[in-house]
Amino acid sequence: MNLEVGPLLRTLRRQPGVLTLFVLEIAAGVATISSLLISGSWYLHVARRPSGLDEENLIMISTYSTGHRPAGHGGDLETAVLAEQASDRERTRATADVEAVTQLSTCVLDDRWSYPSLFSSLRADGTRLAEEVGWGIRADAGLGPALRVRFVAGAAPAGGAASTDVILTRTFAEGLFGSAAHAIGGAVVSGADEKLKVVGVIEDVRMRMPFMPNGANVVFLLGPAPLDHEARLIVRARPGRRDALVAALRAAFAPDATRRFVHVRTFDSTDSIHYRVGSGLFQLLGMFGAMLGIVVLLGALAATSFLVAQRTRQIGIRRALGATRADIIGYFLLESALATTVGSMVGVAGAVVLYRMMRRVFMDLALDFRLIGLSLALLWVASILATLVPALRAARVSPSVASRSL
Amino acid sequence: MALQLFTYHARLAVKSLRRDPGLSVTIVTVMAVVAGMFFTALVHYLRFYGPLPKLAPGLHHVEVSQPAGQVLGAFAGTTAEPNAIAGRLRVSYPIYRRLSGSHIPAREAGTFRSRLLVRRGGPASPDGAAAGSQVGSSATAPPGRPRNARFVNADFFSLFMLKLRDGAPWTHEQEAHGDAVVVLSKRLGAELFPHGDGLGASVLINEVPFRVVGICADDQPMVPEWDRASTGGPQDLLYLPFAWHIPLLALPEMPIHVSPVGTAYADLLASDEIFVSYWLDLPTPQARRAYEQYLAATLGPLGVTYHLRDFAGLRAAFPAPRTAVSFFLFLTLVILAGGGLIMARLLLAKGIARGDELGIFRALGAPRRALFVRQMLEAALLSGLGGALSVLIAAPQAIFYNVVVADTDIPLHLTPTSFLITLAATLTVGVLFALYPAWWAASRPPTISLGRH
Repeated sequence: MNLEVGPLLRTLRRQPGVLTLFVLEIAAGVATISSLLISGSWYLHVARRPSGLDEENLIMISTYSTGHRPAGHGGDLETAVLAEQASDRERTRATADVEAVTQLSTCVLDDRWSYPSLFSSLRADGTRLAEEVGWGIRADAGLGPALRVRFVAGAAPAGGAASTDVILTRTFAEGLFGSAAHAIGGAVVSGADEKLKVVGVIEDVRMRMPFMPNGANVVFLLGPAPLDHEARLIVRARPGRRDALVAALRAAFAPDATRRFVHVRTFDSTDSIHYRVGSGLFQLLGMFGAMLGIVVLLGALAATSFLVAQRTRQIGIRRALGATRADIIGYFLLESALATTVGSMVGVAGAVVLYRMMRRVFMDLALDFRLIGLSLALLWVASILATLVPALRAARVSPSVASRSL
Repeated sequence: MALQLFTYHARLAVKSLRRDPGLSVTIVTVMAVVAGMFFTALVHYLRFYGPLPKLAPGLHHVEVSQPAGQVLGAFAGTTAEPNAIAGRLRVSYPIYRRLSGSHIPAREAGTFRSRLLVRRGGPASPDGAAAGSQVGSSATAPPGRPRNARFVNADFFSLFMLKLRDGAPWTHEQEAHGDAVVVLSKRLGAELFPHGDGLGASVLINEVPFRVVGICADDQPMVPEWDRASTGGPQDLLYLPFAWHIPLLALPEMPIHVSPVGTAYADLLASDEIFVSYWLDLPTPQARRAYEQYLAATLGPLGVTYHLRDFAGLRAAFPAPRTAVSFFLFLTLVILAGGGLIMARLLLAKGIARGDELGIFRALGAPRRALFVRQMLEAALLSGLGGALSVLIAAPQAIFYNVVVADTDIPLHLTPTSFLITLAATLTVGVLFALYPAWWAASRPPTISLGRH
């Protein structure tokens, strides 16, 4: 095969408009498909971020206690809510195959909206050491055995926690105190009031929707929880007994289901609203990317077909002068490759610019060059395909075509 | 004359469309797909950043600097910015009680959102009172999951101009009397009363019977002006008289924690936890001055700073935060421009393919301008058709979004405004990107076009 670049460049120079449009088309394709892939994979990655909990034998029971008292039964509504929740805990603990139970104020499967708070670590003299945004979760003494959190420093308080005792995740402790070891015994405040004492630091867990910022900054507040109609009991089943325990708990709470909300489910952070939203957005953006790829292919195919057809006489002359079919195919492929290369280079630069814009709205967004590479590959394939089909047709042009209009 | 000429060229442009049907169909398809993507992004964008809604002209808001004002400032400019907005648009319960105690505003409303259990009750009694609760009765359906319930005053509906499809909001007298009345959202109304017989019916809210006095006409806007910090979240499904939060022990769904509180409900109401939005109507300058004096006398001695703002001033002080929605609109604009590039190349190909025809026209005396206009009209027709067909791309995308993504229960609808903007944008892109191919085709000398013959 004899590939001559000189005639090729001269042809391109003769049609600068066509060439420029092709280059810009490829550039726009690379930049936008890369951005769609980067943002889509961000949604998927964030939604799939593990909770850090050993979920295999975990169950969650969500309840809503109205505190309703049947007619003729007096008493305080608040006390009735708390009594019902205490009864729920006892009923759960009494069920066979339950290994441990803890009540949390919120968790990663919660569909309620909430906001993080600002926490400050204090020096010995009471001045502020550092500030971090974090998620405060109320928990009881069953936290350790039920969630199987792994302590990296300190431990769960033995014999009952004081109302000001807290446990931090490693990331949060490092942000507030520099290291997990330094955090133990340290003081933390949220707002302007009571000091909280750090009694333990655990490996990171995520307790809120992962699209929220500072997801690994979690502080478990071990004191008594404020009144809440909604309660979440996290239950650890004996190994291999989770499904049986789910059925048993559903049966145990069945009498309540006619008058209040009780939902027993396996604790699976991939079966949650944030997971569905993340996966859905990934699919939607992926759909956009695929449609865009098809559009580029379609446009390139149609345009190239006509532009190749327009050069039928030129091809005939080249064939009459001895060019083989392979030469003709190679000629068009090389022409397309040159334009695609230039367009790809401009497109990558565009993708980087768009990435910098994306970073303002997507937290912790990483520039994944593999995704840019993927979009480059897609457009290269589209470009080659779009050229190959008309080029094959052009290669079949007979040398006699060159003389027909002479 | 000009119109006749235009019609003549338009007719020729339409004929030209049929001349290269493959290229024409490709152009329309390309433009429809890219315009469809833009359409989808635009609908999302307008849900978040659309024009200001029409609200009571005298609507005002008081921002009160909270004890944790500096703390909340740490969120500004981060993805936790709603905290900063919520912290400045809401106040603690004790502050709310002070703000609402003036009796100066023509209308006022305090509001916060909670989560309550709701189910259909029995039929309403003849005197209009809600039927009593029968726990576990077969007459009532079992309760579903907890629902977002907003506590508001009677004036809330007129201040924020919420339209009701059925009934009317409760009155001041009913509110003062402590009547158990409720306004349902469109969604909850349809869910509990699919046959449209909700008005006057009874619903059990945390097992307490309430009478339905109204059902909203529309879904909640994506940006609820009464509580902008909940933008993007699930909508309010029912509205209850504000004072009912105490008997129901209704806890705020998303308080901003600024100090530890005790475990009792009374501790929450006495604390600095931020959760109530307070709005007031000051329709005259005199009313505004009187309220300013009231604020100075009430909050001044406490040493807190405050800002009394009308709605326009409030929106200026709290511009909508940057979100991924804005980015995606920009990205689809780039995609639309990319479609324009593809269209331009295809129009060039069309021009080349029709070199003979254009050459004959030129040889017969057609001026360049006429050919240029005809090419532009053809481009406008093709891109306009693409823009119109964008709805075929955007509609399935909206359905997919509502069914699969469903990050909120406020459904995404394709609106006529979005469609018209999409059509205009597609036409603009089509015409702009057709300039070069039209000029190129019109300026080719007939000798070149016909030369190869």
